[in-house]
Parts: sequence; structure tokens; C-alpha cells
Amino acid sequence: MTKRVHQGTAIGGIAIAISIIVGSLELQFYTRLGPGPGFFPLILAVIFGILSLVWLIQSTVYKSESGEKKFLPDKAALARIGAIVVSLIGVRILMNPLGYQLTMFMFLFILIKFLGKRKLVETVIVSLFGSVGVYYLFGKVLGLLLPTSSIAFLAAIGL
Amino acid sequence: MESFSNLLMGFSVALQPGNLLLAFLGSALGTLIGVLPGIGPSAGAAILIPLTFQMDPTGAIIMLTALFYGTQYGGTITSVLLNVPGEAASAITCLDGYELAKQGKAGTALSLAAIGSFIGGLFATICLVLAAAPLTKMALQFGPVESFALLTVGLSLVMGLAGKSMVKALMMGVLGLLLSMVGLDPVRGMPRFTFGRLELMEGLDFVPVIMGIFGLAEVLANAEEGFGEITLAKMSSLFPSRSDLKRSVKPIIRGSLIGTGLGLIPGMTGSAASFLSYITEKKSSKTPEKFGTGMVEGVVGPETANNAHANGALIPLFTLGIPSSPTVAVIMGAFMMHGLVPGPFLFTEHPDIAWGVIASFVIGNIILLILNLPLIRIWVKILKIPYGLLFAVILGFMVLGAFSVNNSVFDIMIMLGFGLFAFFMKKMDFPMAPLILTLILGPQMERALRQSLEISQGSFSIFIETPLSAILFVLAVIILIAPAFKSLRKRKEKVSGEGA
Repeated sequence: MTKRVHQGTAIGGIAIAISIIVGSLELQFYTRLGPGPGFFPLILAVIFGILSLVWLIQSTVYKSESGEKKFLPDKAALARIGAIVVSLIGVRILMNPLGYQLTMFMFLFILIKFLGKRKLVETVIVSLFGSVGVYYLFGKVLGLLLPTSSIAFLAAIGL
Repeated sequence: MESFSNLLMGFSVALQPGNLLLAFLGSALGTLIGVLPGIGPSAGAAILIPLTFQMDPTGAIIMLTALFYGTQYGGTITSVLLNVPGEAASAITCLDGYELAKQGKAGTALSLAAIGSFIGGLFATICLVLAAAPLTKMALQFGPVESFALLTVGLSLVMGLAGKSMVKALMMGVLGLLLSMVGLDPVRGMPRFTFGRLELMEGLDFVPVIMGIFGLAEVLANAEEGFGEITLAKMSSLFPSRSDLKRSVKPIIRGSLIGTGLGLIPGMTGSAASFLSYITEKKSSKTPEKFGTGMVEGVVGPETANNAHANGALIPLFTLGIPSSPTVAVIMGAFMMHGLVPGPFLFTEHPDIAWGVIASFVIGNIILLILNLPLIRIWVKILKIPYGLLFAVILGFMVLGAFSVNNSVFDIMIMLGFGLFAFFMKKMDFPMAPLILTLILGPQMERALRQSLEISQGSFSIFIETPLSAILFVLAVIILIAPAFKSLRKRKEKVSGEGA
């Protein structure tokens, strides 16, 4: 399994190198004044492609020195990692319509309660501090621009 | 003499109430980050950078540098009491530190480590003061050719020393350079690899990238392991005995020299400094067999070395503009975000900032000594916060940090993308340090390369025309080739061993 992952990633590296080479060729390689914007990326992409190829050969020919380490997490671990990833995507989607406070409250509440498995009171207090508390401390006191909701009635109540 | 009068001027800046407060804040936050397993100095510094946008540059850099060396103090606490290093440079301290804690001597181990760290940090700062003038004078003579050669040596050292495989280290280094190409071309201003997205016009912001690579990847790795409860060793009296103090003198001297020396070499991490110090102490001991069973020397030496390294690593950044480790690269990024370029010009254009920050190292180390001796029990209490709560708070701060760089949710996705990337790449033993360093140094390197080629009208021979750049390039090639020869020799020996 690990060997295949290494080989797959090396092939991915070669594909990335080729796409950058194509992209660099669309930029100017050399101008009247000297090297153009495509000069450095093209050289680097060629080197990256060669290195990926070397890695592909190494991972195919040689035995892995680190042994056959487990690459994919087990089901429970995958669920925990997945929950964090989905929560972050949720923050990205909800931040502008719901505003910082409501989005972060939900984000922290879900992570602490369901992933951290903490008590309800503890969860609510920390989530409130991490959302409303942070909004006022960093937004109002330290002057960071944190978004309010784009939904009129939520914005009207200060969220 | 001139350096010391400049340092005095620096003290007049660093001792201003606002800057003192920020040095205290940085030291406290650094200790906190060092104490918390699962968040290292790079991620800690990256999370805090956006919060310094409204500050004046001197205060912001004072706070971030204090945070950096403060983590070295905090990392010891978890190594001794939990047998879990708060950050990588304190890992070796677990061997004897935890054993001392089990023998009821945790207080002794922590107080001696704090004293050693203080002396190590102070020694490296004095070296920086002494080295600043001659090194900056030399660096001011550099043109684009020498700058490119110097950057190449620095990066080849980082790649040569990072990880087990040179190919993987080189791949990460080149990938970092390629990622630094995203955005407007630094010479002609032409957009490159932006995929039509306005957010990418100014390039990939390094704050969300670093938070993803060092912070989120670490949280994901901890999530994979599960959020278990922790068991702390008991604290004891903080007063070391006279014999313990006497035994600590030589390890502190050796640790200061090793840490500062390795801090000067790009690619040498704090972990390397503490490891080398541990080996040195073991070799110089009359009872090397007792190492690992609770030897004071095994705690004091490495802890002195890693703090001397943290302060010593700032010498190449301040004098030559070269970051020697990922965390120092983050600090370099913070300089740039505040419109400053670390390196020789910092001393000529902003002497108040350069010397103010250097003077703050002395103050910061004194604050850290106070925070880590009489106030150590506060940090021990923080250790009792369950990770099930902590990880969410850390993630919350990461979201805040990533968002506030450009007030854009796009950066949260950049952080997530790089977090997942680093999480999986680390599983395949890919080192992340070369990627971060080249990502930050990429534009500088490209500018130097293109300016050199414009001068020579496209001829690469310009890089071997001056003796200094020729020597530097030969050095870079040797550094990059040496590991390949070493592994070939090893393989040959293995084959001949099997044949015999």
C-alpha cells in the first residue's frame, strides 16, 4: 500500500511538473533585457520533474527504509480528521452569511462537544469565549476586521 | 565598542513601557506554546502575526522573537513532567528530565534548565552584538551575484540536513520555490499561475500556508492518535542543591557554545543542538552509563543548547537576511509584513528597530527566567487543560489568524489545503522545512538570479567570475552531493558485508 502511495505521489509530481512547464512556456522565457517571467518557473519545473522521476524509480526499485508504515488512518481516526476538515469547510461557507460570532460558536461547539467529548457547560463557555469573546477582544479592542452577518436580522442583533 | 553604544540605544527602545509589555506578552505566549503539545513555535508565531498588524514594527518583532525563544523554555516543562516534548528541541530532555521527575526532583530539573536556558540565550545575544558590525559590513558589499550564491548555500544546507532522503528534501525545496512563483512576477509585474483568481495576484500568503503546514497538520496528526488524557509527574522544590548547581556549570558552558555555533548554520535545528549537547555531556561524563536514569547534565546541557540555538539562529537573519530554520523564516516573514527587510540594511536604515529588538532579547530572557522559576506552577496548571478542549481553541485561533491576513475566507481554504498536504507528506517522510524556507526566500532568489543574468546578458559564467560566489557555489554543490556519496558508500559496505 505505502509503495503504491509513494509511486502515485511521484507520478502526481511529474504531472504537476509537466503542467508548470506548459504554463511557463506561455509566459516569456527570455526578453531583450534578460530572463523573462517564465524563465525561473521553467527551470524549476524541469528540476522538479526530474526529481519526481528519480523518486518514482527509487520507490519502485528500493525497499522503503522506513518500513511499511500504515499510510491511511483507521476508521475512527479518519472520522476525527474528516470532522475537522468538514468543520473548516463549513466555516468557509458560513463565515460571510452568518458572521464571525455565530459561525465560530457552531464550529467550536461541534468540535468540543462531539470530538473532544467535553461536558455541555464547559463546551458552551469555551465556545462563547472563542466566538463572542474573541470577536470583541480582537475585533473591537485590537482593531481586526471580523465579519458580521450579511443576513439583516442577525446583523441587527449584533451578530 | 560601537556595537555596545548601539546596544545601549537599543535598550532605550526596548525599555519603553509598550515594548516591555510586548516582550512580556511574547515570552508568556512562547512559554504557553512550548508547554502545549501539538503546537510548535512556527505555528505559534504564524498564528500571532496577523494580530500584530496594528502594532508598530518594533513592538511586533519584539513580541514575535520573544515568543520564538520563549517556546524553548516552555518545551522543557512538558518534557520533564509529562515525558512528552512540548516542541522538538526539548525531546532529548525527556530521557533524563522525566527520570528526575520520577525521583521527586522535577523542580530541580526545571529550575536548572531555566537557568541554563537563560545563560545560553544571553551568550548567543552577546555573540549577535559582537558579530553584527563585521557581518553586516561584509554583507553590504554583496551584489545580486553574491546574494544569489549565499542564498543557494543557505538553502542547500537546509536541504542537505533535512530528513533522510536528499531527493525528498530537494523536491520540497523546489516545490517551495515554485509556490513562491504564484502571483505577480517580481521584475516585470506579470501575473503567473494565478488561475484568474484575484486572491492569488499578490502570491500565496505565507501565514495561512505555515499555519496549515505546522499547525493544522499537527492537529490532524493528534486527531489521528486520539485525544487522550494526560498524567503529570509531581512537582517538587525548585531549589537545586549546591552539588547539582556545581554539576551544571560545565554543561551550561558547553551547551552555550554548541547552541550558538549550530544556530549560525542554516539547516541546523534546535533539536540538533540539544542532541549534540546531550552526546557531548555523555561523552565527557565519568559515568556515561547513568545517562537516561536521571542525570542533571542530561537536562541542563541540551536545554542550554536549544535556547542558545534559538537566539544564535537570529544572527544570520539579522546580519545576512538568511533564515536558518522554519521558525526564523516565519519571523523573517513578519519583518516583511511590516515593511522591513532583515539583513544588513536593517542596521543602516532602521538602527532603532534592529538594536531595539536585539536589546529586547536580554530583557525577554530575564522575563522568561522569572516566568519559569517562581511562576512555573501556573504553567503546570495549564498542562492540566484537556486536549479535547485545547485542540478546538487552537483551531479557532488558526481560523482567526488565517482569515485576518486578508479578511478573506479563501485563506482558510489555503490553510486547510496545505494542512492536509503536510499531514500526508509527513507520513511519507517528506521534510517541510525546505518548502517553507524556499517559499519565503523564492522571490528574493529569483530577483537576484535575474538581475545577475541581466548584468551578464544571459551568461551563467557570472556566477563563477568573482572568487566569493565561485567558492559559495562549489560549497553548495559539495553540500548537495555529499549525502549521495555517503549513501553510495553505505550501500557498497552493505553489499560487501553481505558478500562476505
